[in-house]
Amino acid sequence: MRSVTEGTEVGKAELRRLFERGTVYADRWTGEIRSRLDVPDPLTEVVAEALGSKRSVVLAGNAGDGKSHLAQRALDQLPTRSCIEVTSDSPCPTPVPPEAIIFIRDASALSDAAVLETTAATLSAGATLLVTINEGPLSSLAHIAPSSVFPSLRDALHRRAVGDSETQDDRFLIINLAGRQLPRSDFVQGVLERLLPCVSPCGTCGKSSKTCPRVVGAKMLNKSRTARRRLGELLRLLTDGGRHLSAREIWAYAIDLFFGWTCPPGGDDVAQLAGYFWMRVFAGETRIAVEVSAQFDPVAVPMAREDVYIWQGRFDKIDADSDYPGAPPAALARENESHGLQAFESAKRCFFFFGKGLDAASILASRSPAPRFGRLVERSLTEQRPVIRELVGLINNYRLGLDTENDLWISRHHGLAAHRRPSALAATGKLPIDKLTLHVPYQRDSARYESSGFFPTKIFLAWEDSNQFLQIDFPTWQRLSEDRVLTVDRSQETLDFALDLFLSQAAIVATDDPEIHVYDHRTQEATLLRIRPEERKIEVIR
Amino acid sequence: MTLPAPLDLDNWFNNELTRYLSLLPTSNSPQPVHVLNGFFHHALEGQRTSKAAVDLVATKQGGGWGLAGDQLREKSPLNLPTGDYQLDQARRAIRALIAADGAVYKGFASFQLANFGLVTSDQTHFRIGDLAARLALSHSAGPHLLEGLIARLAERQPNPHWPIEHLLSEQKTLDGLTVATLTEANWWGTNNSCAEFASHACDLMARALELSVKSRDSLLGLQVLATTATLLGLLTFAQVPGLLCGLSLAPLLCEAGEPGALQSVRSASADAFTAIDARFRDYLYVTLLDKVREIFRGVAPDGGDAVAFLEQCNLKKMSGGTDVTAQLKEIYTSWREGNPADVALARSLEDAMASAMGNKSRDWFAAVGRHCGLVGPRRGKVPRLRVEVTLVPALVLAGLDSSDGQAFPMSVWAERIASRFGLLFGASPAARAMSHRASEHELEVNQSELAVLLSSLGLARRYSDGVTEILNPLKVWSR
Repeated sequence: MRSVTEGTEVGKAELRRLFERGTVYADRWTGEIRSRLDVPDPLTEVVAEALGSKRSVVLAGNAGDGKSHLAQRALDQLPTRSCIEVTSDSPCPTPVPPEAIIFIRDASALSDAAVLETTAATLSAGATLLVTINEGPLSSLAHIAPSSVFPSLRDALHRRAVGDSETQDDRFLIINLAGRQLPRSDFVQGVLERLLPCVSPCGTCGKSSKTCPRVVGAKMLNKSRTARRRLGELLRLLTDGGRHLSAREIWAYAIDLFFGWTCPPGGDDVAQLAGYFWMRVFAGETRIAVEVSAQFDPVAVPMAREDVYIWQGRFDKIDADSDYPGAPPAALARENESHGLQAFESAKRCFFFFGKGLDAASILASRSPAPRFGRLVERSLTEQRPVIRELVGLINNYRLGLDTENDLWISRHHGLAAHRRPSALAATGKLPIDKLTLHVPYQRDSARYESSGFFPTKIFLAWEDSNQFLQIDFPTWQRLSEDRVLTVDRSQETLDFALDLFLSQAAIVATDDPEIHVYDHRTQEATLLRIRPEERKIEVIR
Repeated sequence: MTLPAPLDLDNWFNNELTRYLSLLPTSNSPQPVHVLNGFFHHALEGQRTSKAAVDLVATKQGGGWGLAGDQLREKSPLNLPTGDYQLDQARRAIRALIAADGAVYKGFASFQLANFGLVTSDQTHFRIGDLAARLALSHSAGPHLLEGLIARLAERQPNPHWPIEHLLSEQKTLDGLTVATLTEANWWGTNNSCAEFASHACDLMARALELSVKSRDSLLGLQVLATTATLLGLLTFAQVPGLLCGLSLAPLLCEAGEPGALQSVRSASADAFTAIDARFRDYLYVTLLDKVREIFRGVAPDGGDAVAFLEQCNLKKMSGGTDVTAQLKEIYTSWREGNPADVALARSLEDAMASAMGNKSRDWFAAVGRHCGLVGPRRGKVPRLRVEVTLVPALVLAGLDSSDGQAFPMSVWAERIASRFGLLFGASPAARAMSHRASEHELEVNQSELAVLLSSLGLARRYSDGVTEILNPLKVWSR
């Protein structure tokens, strides 16, 4: 039986050492550290409750999604119930005590045979199984053991990931943490709350420094709920664009914002500017920083009045949660133009986080299409028809230059060459939008575990009688909103082909004398033909 | 020494070697539209009457309709719009649909086939259509599937191309179509060293036919059939010469994702591309060596006699190539150093032949590959094997098995296309064994890029932890 509550409380110093090392592998943390850094998760209750009622639990997800942390926290919440962890050194006991919880912390750390044996023994003894498993090993177990529970577990996970209905297996609670977009929960705020009090000056500035950009920024952020929320909104911008951020990535990113910086020895104020978290958010070296800045950077947002005040250094004129700690850009520019511009960048980015009355959500939406896609996906969770209508409108316009949203024109081409994009698309029929459905991944989890961050990164448009889906992710949606071109554009070619495959599965019926809408993208000429086979006649209607 | 009759290399190449391969890799480069037409022309017997369609949409070299409006109205059996503007508008629209790939001219035409009435005897497929027909008809289910396709395309189809092509077709042509009988021929499929590859190629062709018969949409089925037939022509060129020389399948590492984004994959796939042509040249040499031994019955001439024989041979001559008749002595002498006389003679002939061809076979593979989506980039100096979207359904079919359900693991599929056709994308023993080896990381990224492409097209589902399942088009698209 494991417990995580034993031991003394971990001091800030120990946490700081951990952060300085950037060690964010929760599996390797001691129980005390895990406890100190735990961000409350509503799923903990859910898992604990299931285990308490002797229901087995499978936690799936990507590496870093927090499966084993969640499992451990749920076990911690249980009253005195025997938990036996199966490891490579400590195999499953025989016989399995029926009252026990058999815990496989990481299925990939055991051999396939050991996982299969443990699972079979636990279930046949009527004991409770708690297993955390990545989908790769789970699929491989399902493949090699078709008569085990794993094929049905895999199928349940797969159905959830494409928004298909699934049959409930009451023996298991299955949760796939890969379906969570943590910036849509309180996780980011929780991480900041735990991290910020521990931020200390860098080695160059020394322990007692009050001016190291690390501590100055952390102190300001700790004091400003608005700034913390805006940092969360920036991460949400990524997830709206379809990027799955794992718990570990968010921790690593937040730690790097502060502990990843060391002031250059002998550096002046300008050299220190790059160390403030608001600079590292956009200009840091992490993958997330690169991705955030590709979507948005406040420096590029024109704000006539504020820009002047910021440049002149009249920071008192702008309403902000905290005063900007740096020097006036204009004054620095008089000595060195580049320094002035760096200072302006810093002050403007700082203003984005701390400025009062700034409508950050609107600014983000005006600079990046990701929030609009995020809203479309959000709507699909509750009301599908308007979303289908919007998508149908985009497809009709993209393919045939038509505005209609209530029917989807089944536009086709028959170009066979890979090196030449077909210019003419044509349709003989259309289908009403009620023949279409939306498959929304993790829709049920999103409703069931409301504040846990379950949110799809894509949706699937489907015919009611076909399994050929059109995947609508952020890039697809962006391409659909553009004009179709005939030059080499691989992302459009992929979209074209995906649409062809999808439209080819429409259940339209051939008619005797069809009207054929032809739209030539080269000449932008629309032609409506009627074919009358009895008379071998071709008519041009318009 | 009395020399036997000199070799006519031009005749030997065109009528023996390339006929045996069922490919003419020095021809103009056919497109899938030509191959599909050629396939049906060889697989189906019946009349070819596409005059009405050719008259309606064929253009002249340099622009303008092949037949002016008035002449067209006079000659055409169709009831066409009376106004000149409307007639032009109709012709433009119809041409854009049934001659989309620019393969319709007055003298020879391959249409975007949606209806068998427009099959022509155009030879621009340069034997790939013939090869595809042979592969299809060699499969036990092939003739039956072709009958199924004739029956299907005789029914009205809901796509926009079928009614237009039906209108342009002659009913007597449609009524008289039958499946051709497989004729005896000496071709690579009958060679034991190619038996396994031939069996996989026949299976793939049969699966593409099955898709066009059973899938919900006949147009899509025909598109996949065209790409599959062209792909099989390319794979034949890439693999059969090596197999005939006793080698194993060549590793065909294909780039997926953005062109050139993965540097080591880019160079390894470019190397794989170059190796294909090298294998073809080795095959030329081995076959010429057999020929030399056959002609001289094991006692090849040497020195001046050998040179005299070489000089009398009719060397192949193609535009872009170099005539090396004047250098034959030097070529022979350099090959003779350290080699037996027959080897030196065969090598010299192969050298002369390759010089006369220029880079024809390599250029042919690059151009046909670009047309069907197996070679990229579209414009660029480093041709390499890469997969473009239009090829993806054919690739998916290449990795299917008759026992597959609606979905199966991508890893299983990847192993199959590697073992059947030598096609590689990710890290595997075959990719690691390549002489120009891509980095392990980039190979994994490449495989993942392919998974992204497949799932974007709805031909695969990607789950967490990089798990991807291929969807079986024969199930997903079935009627």
